[in-house]
Amino acid sequence: MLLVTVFVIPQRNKFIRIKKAFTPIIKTIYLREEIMLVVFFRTIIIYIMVIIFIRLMGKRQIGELQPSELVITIMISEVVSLPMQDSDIPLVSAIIPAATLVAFEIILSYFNLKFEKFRALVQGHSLVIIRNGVIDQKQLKRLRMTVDDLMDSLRKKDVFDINTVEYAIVETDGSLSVLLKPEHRNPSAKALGAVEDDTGLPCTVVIDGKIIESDFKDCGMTREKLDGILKNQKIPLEKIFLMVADNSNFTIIERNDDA
Amino acid sequence: MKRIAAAIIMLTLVLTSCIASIRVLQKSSTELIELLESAAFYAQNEDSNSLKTATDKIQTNWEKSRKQLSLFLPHSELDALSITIPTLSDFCCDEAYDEYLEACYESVHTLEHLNHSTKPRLENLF
Repeated sequence: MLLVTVFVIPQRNKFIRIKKAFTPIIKTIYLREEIMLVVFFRTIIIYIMVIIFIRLMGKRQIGELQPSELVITIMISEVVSLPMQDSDIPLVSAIIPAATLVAFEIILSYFNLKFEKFRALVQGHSLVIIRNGVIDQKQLKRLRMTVDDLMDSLRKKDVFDINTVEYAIVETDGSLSVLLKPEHRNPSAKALGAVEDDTGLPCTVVIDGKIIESDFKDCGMTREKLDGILKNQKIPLEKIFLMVADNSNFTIIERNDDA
Repeated sequence: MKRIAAAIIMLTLVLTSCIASIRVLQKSSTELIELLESAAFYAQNEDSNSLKTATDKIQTNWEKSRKQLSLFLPHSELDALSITIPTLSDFCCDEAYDEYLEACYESVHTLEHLNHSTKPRLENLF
């Protein structure tokens, strides 16, 4: 009894006091962890959602986006980022506007494809700004483009002399297309009489010892043909790092470094 | 064509969920407002037994509605109700009828505000 009174009770009281003192801290940490977990799961959900939306919108490089597509991409990123960080905002507030924007973008692109007048209304027309080496100043003003901007764009196309340009066209996405005068164009293989046989698309047949059979039909490859090539070259499949082939039976084989 | 179909399905889902959210909010808020008004009536008459039953109903109903409403309403707006409604049972136990009435009317106002702010009206669109 004395032992309990002297040692156990003070120890227990001490433990209770410590527990009481630490309870708010533990609760805060636990609450923070919970909030962090909510943010973590929200981020995963939004990430998956954005990937699906981007896939639905289709493949285009950032530089090739139409103005409306660029604006919609920025808007989607803005709309989804808020509920990702702030757990006070319901996820639906991100999903509904993002899904609506994507759906309208797809429908708009369908109408663009089908109706020319609609396309002209939404995307505008491409404009010719240089004809036979002469700048169309009226179009340049219409585009609010300075001569410096034009020269800059031409230089990026490796054109340093306006006189060599037959046509320069500003496309609807803002990029510049240039057609040089015939005397300044690079001669084609046909013009030089150096046309080679069409060897088709070179495709990857083996990567790191694994056969990529999905690409076989693009280069007329078969499993038997591949086995024959490997037998002739005396290379086991697992020692190949990269193998590329085309329709003309031309193959490039790179061995594994550790082979 | 597959993309167009996906876009149409997506738009349909979005519209359906928007309409469903408005319906859920209207139903939940109407039920809660009715319960709160009846509880306010009992509080005015100082009918403690009926008030306790009504308060329990409000609590149960709120717990059920809160989960649905938090799916599409800003959580900060629901927090006000989450703080006020649980105090009703305390006021009921203490028979603090004036405070009970005040909390009741506050909750009714918040619910009415939520109900109006989500309707697709001109003042909400602009």
